[in-house]
Amino acid sequence: MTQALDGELVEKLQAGDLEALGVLYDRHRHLVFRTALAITGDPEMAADLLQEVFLRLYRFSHRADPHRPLEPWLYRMTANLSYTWLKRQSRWVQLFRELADRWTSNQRTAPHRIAEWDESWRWVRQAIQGLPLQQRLVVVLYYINDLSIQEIADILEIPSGTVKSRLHYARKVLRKQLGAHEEAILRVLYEAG
Amino acid sequence: MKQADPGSDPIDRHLSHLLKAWVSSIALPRHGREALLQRAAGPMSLAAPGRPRGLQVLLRWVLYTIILMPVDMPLQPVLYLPAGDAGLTSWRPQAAPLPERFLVQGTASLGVGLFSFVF
Repeated sequence: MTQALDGELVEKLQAGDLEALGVLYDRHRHLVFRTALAITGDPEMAADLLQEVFLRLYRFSHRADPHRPLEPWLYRMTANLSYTWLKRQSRWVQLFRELADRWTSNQRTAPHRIAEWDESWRWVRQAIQGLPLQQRLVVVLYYINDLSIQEIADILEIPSGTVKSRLHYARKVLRKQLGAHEEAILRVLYEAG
Repeated sequence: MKQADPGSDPIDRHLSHLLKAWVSSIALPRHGREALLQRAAGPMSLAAPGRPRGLQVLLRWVLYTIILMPVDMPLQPVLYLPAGDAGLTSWRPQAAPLPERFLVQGTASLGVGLFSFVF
């Protein structure tokens, strides 16, 4: 079953085949997790979103068209869910969460690897999280998922001109934010090979 | 998929590599597949935003307690034995002075919060 096309697996999913869901999860989990992680900046929320996106794929599989590529559907669902989850958190709850995260970053409730990750990449995370949410979605889909302007416009259901303008303003902010860390960027890229 | 943009400045050129390295630097959650299949096989419930975590839950609880305390206090007066009435001859339920009510109810609320956090 691992060699089956996405469309065939969606058809099996529509028939209630859980094994097909497992195969689709293995195939696309990186895409969903990394997109959610970049949008939310929170590994735990991204892990929850990863589950949620595939649960929704299973629950609403009858709405998916097996003859169309699955990836745009996954991108759309990940972006929409991330957007909704973040929007539902009011500003003061986010502030409170950040405070709690800071307090717990070196304690038992936060896994060590997450605390380390947060520390080494804090400046990148802050730059991305500093963008308005709608610009952040476009940046993530463009730079991390390598989608074209038109593909992003189709996924987010907005005109391609809007994608371009959001990307333009986001670039300006990121250039300013990350410009101060040019040395660190080169070091990170060198280490990442 | 998009084409590379060779004309952009260094930050812009590196942005894609940088962001990919950032999101790739943390591993995917373990046992995600098993958990997913278990949830899919069980009664379907779609989650609320984000899973609350340990200390964060407690801190949130403390904040709510502090916010709600002034509302809650007049509704639930703490029984109070006036000083100097050791014989209990003239005992009657009576609301405690404000600072003591605040202290007693605050301590009780924090105790419940701590209990729910630990267990």
